[in-house]
Amino acid sequence: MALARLVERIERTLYVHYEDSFVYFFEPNFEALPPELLIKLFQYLNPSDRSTAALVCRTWYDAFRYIEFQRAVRLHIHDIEFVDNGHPLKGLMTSFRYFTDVRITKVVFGNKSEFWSEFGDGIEELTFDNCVIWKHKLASILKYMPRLRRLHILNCPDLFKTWKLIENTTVTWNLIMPQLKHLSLARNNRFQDFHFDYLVQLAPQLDSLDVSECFSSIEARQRVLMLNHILEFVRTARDRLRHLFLSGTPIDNVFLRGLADIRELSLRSLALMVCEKIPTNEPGIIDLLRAQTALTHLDLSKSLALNDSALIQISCSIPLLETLILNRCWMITDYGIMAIKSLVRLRHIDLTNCERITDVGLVGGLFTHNRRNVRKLYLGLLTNMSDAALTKVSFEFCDLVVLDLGGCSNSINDLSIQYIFYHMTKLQELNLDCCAK
Amino acid sequence: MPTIRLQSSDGEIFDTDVQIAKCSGTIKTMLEDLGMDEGDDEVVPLPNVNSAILRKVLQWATFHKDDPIPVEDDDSKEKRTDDISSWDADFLKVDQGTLFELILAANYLDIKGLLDVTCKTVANMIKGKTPEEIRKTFNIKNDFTPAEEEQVRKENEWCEEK
Repeated sequence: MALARLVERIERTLYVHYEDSFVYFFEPNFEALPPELLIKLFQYLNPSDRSTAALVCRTWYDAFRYIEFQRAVRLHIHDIEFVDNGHPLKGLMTSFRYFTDVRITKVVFGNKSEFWSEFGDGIEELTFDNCVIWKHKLASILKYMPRLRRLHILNCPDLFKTWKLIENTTVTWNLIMPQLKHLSLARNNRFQDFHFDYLVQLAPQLDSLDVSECFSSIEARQRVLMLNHILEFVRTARDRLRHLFLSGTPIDNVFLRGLADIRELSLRSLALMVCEKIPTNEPGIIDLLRAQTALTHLDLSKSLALNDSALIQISCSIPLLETLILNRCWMITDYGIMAIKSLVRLRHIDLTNCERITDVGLVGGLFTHNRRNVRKLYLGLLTNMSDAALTKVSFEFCDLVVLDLGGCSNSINDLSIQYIFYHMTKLQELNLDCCAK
Repeated sequence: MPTIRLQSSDGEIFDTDVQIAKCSGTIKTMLEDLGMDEGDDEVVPLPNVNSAILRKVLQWATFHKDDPIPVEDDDSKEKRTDDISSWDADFLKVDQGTLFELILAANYLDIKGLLDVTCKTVANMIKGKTPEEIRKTFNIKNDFTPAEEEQVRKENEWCEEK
């Protein structure tokens, strides 16, 4: 006992001695790290660890409020009635942080809320999903957001049901959102031409429009009218529109032809579904792909009528393509997929559920070139892919970050999985759902 | 081999190979701007770095003198912290006071590689911990009032990762 105490005393003496001489011992003072260094340090944390670090002390909280860190998180308010003295608004109102991205899901709006005048200034992205909102409310919220860049109004049937044409003209103040670049009305069935006009007129700089999964359960006549109206807008905005998303919205060959015929329209992103059942001699999709040569992002998910000739056209006319999504394009065969070997810039390839593709197509179209650029590869439900092909994937795509093999029960066995783990050291996501072997 | 003389805050002089000293952007700029000639016996004062830390910094710079110039990857995304070389990991097995001083020195001397690896080391000590554990690890005093702390906690609850 005595010896232990002696040792402890000696240790403590040394310790004090060092501290006095200021040679070997320095007091760490991490709460006094200058803000620019704290920010540098926090860049190495993920958003969740960063939020925890914000709770450590006031200087750390201040560093956490740095705008780039706030842009990495989203305020998500769900399942409440939106009133200032209710939960959680009451607590959020006294917050010192900015909310750059706000998502409101399944919310019923109450009376005037101070939340928007308080925080609207910092909001850059706003989403209403499945909310009970009406037009005046929407306008009175948007007027506090001069910096809004992206607006999503998803699945809000009440908004369009209650919004009468007369309301477009009775608004006394003229709302213009100069920063607004992206408007999404996805998953709405019943919006009409005057709703659409009002919303796109808010944004004179709009360059991105999303009307995915719209108009599926309305009568054909109304759908054709709306699609024509949207086409007309694309025509007037052809100089500035760069991104157009229509995936899951039923469009016909007439629409595709119309889109293909808009000269001077040069899109960077395009998403649509080709599913016209009637075969045609002049498929609009081919003309459209021929015209849009600057595309980098092309999503043709669920295009049940898309065939190999479209894929051959893509390979010829769109050399800059980086993202190609062919999820559930059942008609695609090995012949079509072999054509994409000329697309050397691809970074994201999705062939999920393209059932007809076999090893021949994969080897001929995907594995021929140096595919080092590819980061995300989705090969789910490719039942005809063999384990030998999968082994080859692990060699050729060694820089992958995401690999989806869900439901590829024939190709996944212990050996091919070991190849994947051995070669793909940068992988962050791997999906192996339903791979019984 | 040309050398220059670096003086730490507590007066110790370090005769250093110029090539190694130039790992530091601050010293490099100083030499270029002031037109200090190699071979001059002039002393470069470094008033913000003491001798113990400067010795460590020079040890690091000597080992890393042939490293390629790090590229600025200004992704606002999360950066990796699991790529610390084993030499660096051993080098940074120091008490927290020294680690803290090394961060300050790397910043003052503008040595990007050293700043990166010290920040990564500290980030690894933060990851996965609760606020209380972090405070304990770094001996930080909680200066929030209970109400303020509750407020920040509530805000976090309603925020999600994108």
